[in-house]
Amino acid sequence: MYGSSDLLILCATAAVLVCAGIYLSRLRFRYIALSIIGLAFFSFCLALFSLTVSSELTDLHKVILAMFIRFAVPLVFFCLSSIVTIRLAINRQHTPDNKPAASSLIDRYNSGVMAAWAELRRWFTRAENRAVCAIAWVMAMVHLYFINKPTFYLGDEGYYVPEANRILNRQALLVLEHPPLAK
Amino acid sequence: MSVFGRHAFGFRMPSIVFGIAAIFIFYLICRTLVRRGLPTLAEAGRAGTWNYWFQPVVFVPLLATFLFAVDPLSFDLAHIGMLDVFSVTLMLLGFLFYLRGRQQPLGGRRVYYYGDRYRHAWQRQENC
Repeated sequence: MYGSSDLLILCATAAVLVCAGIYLSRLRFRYIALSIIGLAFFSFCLALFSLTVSSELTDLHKVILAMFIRFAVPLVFFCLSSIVTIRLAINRQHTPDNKPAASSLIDRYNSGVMAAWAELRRWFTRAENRAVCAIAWVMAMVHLYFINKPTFYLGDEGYYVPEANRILNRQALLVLEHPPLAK
Repeated sequence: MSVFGRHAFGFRMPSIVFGIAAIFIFYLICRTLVRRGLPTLAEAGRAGTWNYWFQPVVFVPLLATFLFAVDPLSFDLAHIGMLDVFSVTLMLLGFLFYLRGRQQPLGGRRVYYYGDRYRHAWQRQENC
């Protein structure tokens, strides 16, 4: 059964989608904005549906909700980063000598959250940061290789994971803590 | 676990994400500390050349980051579902913000934005 935390995630996702849609509509990406606002509306409908008739949720609804929760946020970030990349390319094209951009539509990318996000993306592609990116990439691959080894719980996982499972199943806690560390 | 799933990938993946983030944060801290009194990255040479990677301002942070990444304790903590790696990463992030904040004027977003006019004397001496 889906609890309040899942509904909170869903509503937060829908709010992010609405913000993205409004932002994109201001940038005249009308079709993408309309599709994202449609996704947000769909998620709100799902949230309302699960709030009202949560006891009658079928497995199909659960699968749709779970897939939406897991993939909507990465999808939004992917769309936003792609759009920023495209717009920065347009900006570069219009301002070859680092002159201030002529259009207010392009000026918007030189400040604010999107500029910070674009700057973060550029940081990983700079030549001077190649070495630390290589170190992090290799370590990520090693971590992912060892992620299922060993198959038993290591250290405090033996306490946290069963407790987290019980929290997700809305069952009583095994070890009474306040607040529970497994949460 | 509700996002990644109720299996080993689910309860170990957040630790890996924070462990990898800690590597980048540690590198930024080392680069900020080593930069004092040494040539800047721009003065060290052109990135990609053999001489560039062995300049102290480039090599020392990379060596420290590599040792941090392969350190058995940080490596183990970064791929098991415990809470230590989260606190370590956030503490490193706080220390990085502290270092960056010391280098910037109060309320300023970028040092070069305001120029040297509004920076204090002690900041001018130890920066860049």
